[in-house]
Amino acid sequence: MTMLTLNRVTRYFGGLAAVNDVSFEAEANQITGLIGPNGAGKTTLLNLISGLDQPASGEIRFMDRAIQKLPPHKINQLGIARTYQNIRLFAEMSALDNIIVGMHTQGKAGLLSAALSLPGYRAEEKRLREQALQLAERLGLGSFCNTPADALSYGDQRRVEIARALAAHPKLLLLDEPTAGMNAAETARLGELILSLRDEGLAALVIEHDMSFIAQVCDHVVVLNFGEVIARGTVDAVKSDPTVVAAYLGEEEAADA
Amino acid sequence: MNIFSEFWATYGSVVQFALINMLLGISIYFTLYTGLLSLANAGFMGIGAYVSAALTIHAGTPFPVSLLVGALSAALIGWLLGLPVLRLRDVYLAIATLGFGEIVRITAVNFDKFSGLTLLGGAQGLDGIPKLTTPVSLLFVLFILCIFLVQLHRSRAGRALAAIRRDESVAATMGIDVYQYKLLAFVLGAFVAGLAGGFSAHLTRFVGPNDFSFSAAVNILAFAVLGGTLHWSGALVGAAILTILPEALRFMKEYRGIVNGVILVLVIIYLPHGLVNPKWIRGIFRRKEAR
Repeated sequence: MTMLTLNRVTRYFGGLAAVNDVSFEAEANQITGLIGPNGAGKTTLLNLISGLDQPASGEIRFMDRAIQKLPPHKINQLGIARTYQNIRLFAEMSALDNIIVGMHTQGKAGLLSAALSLPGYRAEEKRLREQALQLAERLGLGSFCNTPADALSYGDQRRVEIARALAAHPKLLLLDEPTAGMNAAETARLGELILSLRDEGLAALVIEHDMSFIAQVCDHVVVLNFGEVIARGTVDAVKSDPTVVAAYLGEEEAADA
Repeated sequence: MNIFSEFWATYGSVVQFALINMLLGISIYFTLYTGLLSLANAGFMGIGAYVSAALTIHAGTPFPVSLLVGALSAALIGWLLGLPVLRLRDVYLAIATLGFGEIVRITAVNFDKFSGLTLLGGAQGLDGIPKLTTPVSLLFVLFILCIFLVQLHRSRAGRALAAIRRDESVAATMGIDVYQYKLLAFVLGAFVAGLAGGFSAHLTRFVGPNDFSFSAAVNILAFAVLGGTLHWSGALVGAAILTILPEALRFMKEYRGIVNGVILVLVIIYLPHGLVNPKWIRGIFRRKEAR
């Protein structure tokens, strides 16, 4: 089943087409890799999907609904959550509080019930807190729950961001270079986590430069270069595609290889 | 006369002004905490003051009713104003809200008689308001507000406001309706400023258009800047200091304004986050736990 469909999506910055006529699908229950050299338009694409930016033309469909004109919070409520390439945690908040903020759509207690500390509000807070703790445990953050986010190591901050995105119970997770700043062991563990989440029914779109990570987790890969899709398919098929090799290594080396 | 009543006879009004200013500090804290630089609070205070005073004088409503209707009027106008201006950010929002303050002032100046009734008193202001504000009523309202703030910060709405201040677009991608929450903070601030206006009118027994001018808006901002906006108690501390300091410096006669300004500048330079930093508060609690 197709979960996310991009149909001829284009976004200009000035005269430059950062994303040019891009079409691809991300399937439910699959991890789709989005790779390409720096400046290929990968992060722009993620911004378009998550609603932080709007395409000049084209259509983005999520679960059979056009979302390209929706504001970011509506898109999140439909079931898309994301992380950021340059980590954007709430710095002074604890790791656990960051995750609880991510649960915004999971609660519904209003201001009044909070101000009066009604039982419904207290039960909800308790439930959110327990879920956040479980999520933190699952991502190996159990011992950092009360540490301010900006005091954590780079790899731990990445995991807090992933936990914060997962806290919204998304159907589709967008990860922007999740392994950047992680060591090999952390990267391998993250790969296992993403695969286990997929087995539970989550779909993901992953931007990544670490090709072994892509090979580990991705069912399907889309290659971007200068804002255009130059190849798509399984990891092995894409790796041996001459246009992809040329995009990464340059024309001459590709010819030599 | 014992020491307390002697003190109260001299400084009672200063204490009550400090309490009213604390309310104003809280009112601007709501918006600053959400990352909004709004200077409309003096205008909202004016609306609360005029509406509540006019009600008490012309309609003879009991004080709590006048006060509440005044604050609700400020909140309603705040909502109507917030709908368009909260699309703006930073300094643009500051200028738009400053313009609103001027609208309130100029409306008050030109709105003296309505169908033959002296409603707002025009440029001369409205006097003869009964003195109904008591220290107990002020403390009561302040106490309720403090409890509300503590509860707010623990709640889902409070977390959303904190998230918006730190990173608006990240907050939005986490399902938080940024615009609605900004509007909420704006309206809460307007309501509390309206309350402060009502108390002020029934304490000084006079409401004039110049009480709510540009300098009043900046003074309110100074409470929060001095005290800090990282914790709600900062606004209280800032308001208390900036009310008491001019009185404490009275022996300096004509230099007190200068000294007052120098102290403010020194705090801003050396404590850019204000006098109250939540890290210190947490530090104190942790040390106690460790013992």
